[in-house]
Amino acid sequence: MRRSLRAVRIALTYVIVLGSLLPLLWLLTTSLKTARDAFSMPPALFFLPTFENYLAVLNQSDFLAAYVNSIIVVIATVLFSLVFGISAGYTIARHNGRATRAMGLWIILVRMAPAMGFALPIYLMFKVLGLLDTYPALVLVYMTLTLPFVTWIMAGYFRSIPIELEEAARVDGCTRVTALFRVVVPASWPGIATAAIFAFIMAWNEFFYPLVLSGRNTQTAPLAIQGFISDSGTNWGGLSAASILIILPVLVFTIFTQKGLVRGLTAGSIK
Amino acid sequence: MKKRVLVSIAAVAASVLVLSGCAPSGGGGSEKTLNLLMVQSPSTTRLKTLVPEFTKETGIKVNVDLVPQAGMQAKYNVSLGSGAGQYDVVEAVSTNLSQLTASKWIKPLNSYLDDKSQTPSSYTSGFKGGVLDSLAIDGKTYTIPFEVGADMLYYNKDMFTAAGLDPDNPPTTLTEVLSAAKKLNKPEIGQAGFLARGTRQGNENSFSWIMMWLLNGGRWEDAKGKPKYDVLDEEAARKTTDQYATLMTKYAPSGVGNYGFVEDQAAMQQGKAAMWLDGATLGPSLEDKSASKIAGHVGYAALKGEGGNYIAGAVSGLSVVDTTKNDKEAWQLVQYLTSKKVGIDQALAGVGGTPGRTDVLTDPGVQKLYDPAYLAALSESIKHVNPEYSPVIPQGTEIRGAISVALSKILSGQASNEAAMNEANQEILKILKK
Repeated sequence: MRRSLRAVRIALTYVIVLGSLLPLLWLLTTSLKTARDAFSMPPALFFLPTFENYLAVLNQSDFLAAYVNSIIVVIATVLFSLVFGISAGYTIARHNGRATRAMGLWIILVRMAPAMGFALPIYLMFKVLGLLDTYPALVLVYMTLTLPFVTWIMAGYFRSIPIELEEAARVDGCTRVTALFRVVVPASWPGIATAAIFAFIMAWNEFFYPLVLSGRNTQTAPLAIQGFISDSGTNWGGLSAASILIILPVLVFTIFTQKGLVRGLTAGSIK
Repeated sequence: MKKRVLVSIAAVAASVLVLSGCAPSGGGGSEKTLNLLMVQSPSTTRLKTLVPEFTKETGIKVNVDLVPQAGMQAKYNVSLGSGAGQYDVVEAVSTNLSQLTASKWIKPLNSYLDDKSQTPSSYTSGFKGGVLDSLAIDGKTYTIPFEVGADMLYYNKDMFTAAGLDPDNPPTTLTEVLSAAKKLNKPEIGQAGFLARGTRQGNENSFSWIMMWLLNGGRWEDAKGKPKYDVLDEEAARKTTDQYATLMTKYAPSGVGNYGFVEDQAAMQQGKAAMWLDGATLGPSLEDKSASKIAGHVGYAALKGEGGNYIAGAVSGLSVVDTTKNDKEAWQLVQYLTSKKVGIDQALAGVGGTPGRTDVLTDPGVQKLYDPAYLAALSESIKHVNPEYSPVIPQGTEIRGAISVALSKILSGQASNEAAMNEANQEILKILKK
């Protein structure tokens, strides 16, 4: 009885996992089908895969440029967000003053406001500064989304690390900053990895700000992918191939960063 | 401590400056530079490739930004609404023309059109069928079309023959469409008689309804020609709703309430439906052998309706931005991108099958490339185009939304035709009072 119940549970788990992966599978198969096969009814389960869609997408210089723009902007955003987010998060975690608490609240309040509310003032500021259609404009504005998130995640994580560890490091001759980077940060890899993954995904999928602030030089992938949809129809093959290509960096980054999650549990000072 | 703070600030500033250095530059120099904003589509992507030719001819440099359709409104609101003067020429489409003119973001072009030194008569004579006049607002022309999305009826010739209908004599009125749809509808073999847009997403179903309503004599005005938008309880609207409901609930595929033009196009290409009423830009893809199972078997018909301008024409045009400091150069660019030469290039590239200029369709190269039946139907449709098919007031989208909700209720059986449209009419009155 118990064994059959377990079998049912496992089967159910597989159904849920496969069910949630089905859209991705559909995307992948559509990207490998010709336009004619993509919507054939009943769906063509067995078909001769074609890489035409990928070749067509990769031959589009505009899409490739947007792809490269996305990679540059998002990596810069994640790096800056981590540098500033770790420092700010540490300050919020370790200082209990009224001003620090107010600052923490202020940071998260920025995240609560709708993007449209900021769009016009940011646009005008960047226009005056000559930053429209530049990488710094996108990095700065993406950081309004990712930095509060990273700061709060890191503040929460730092609070969970016993202050005695730092105190021990200080006794051993570390300054506050070296204690942070030599003791606290190595012990916080799981938190940093989580913050980095989410910051990467948030920035990678951002549509509204690049729509308003980017131009021909800095258009990002989420904007470029919309080009497959127009009044004349949707290029499903191209759209699917481009989607798979857009998912790839997120997947690679997540797999790469995930190691940090595991490493953090065994490395650093907590053993 | 103070020193550390200063060092930190300097570090941040340096990072931003370093990044600025990495940023692609926008160019400079003493030559005139224009900035052009268009909505991304195959047609505008092609126009972008033709811009270097303009620069070669005139010495005027042009930066082209293409914005996805989904973000068009937000981009326009911020870049034009801020008055920052980022763009000199922008694309205007039927749905946002009223907003662009009401907000004074674009300027009238009459002074250029009337000036023979700036505009040769051969340029304006290519816009036949009153397209330019129908785009005028208060007698002023604000945009020059490069694409007109006139609607037409597509049909599967083989299915017509199999149903005992003459493929060379397609239906030309909505009454005939209804009668043909009945004969062509064969659910037992997975064949629907008719297709139109059913989804309320993006107010798509209201577009199909408006196509039929215009054919039935409906207009956004009263008998005296004054604007009127609470028209859903009038005869033309009632008749249209009954026809739409009959066609979509009896002769369309099940689940058509979720069909937009994308799903309709796929169903036609897959040979799942016999007739489809929609915009002419969607037609050429039915003849694409790599995507369509019915390529070579497609028929085209221009429907006839009441009044002169009974075809819904989603116009895409180019307008000069009010804040531009380069008026003359901007007008030169508009003229170039809406010229016969560029129109022919668009048509031959297969991306501008519905040019704003009818003289493009008489070009021998274009006539050779397209199905004569398609060109004939297109020429006929363009003659009766009505670019003001959507309410050209700021509340236009909301009004379309009210109609879409009503149609959605009808298709899902939540309300009768009359109840749904009366409710929508009341909603429109509320929207107008806001």
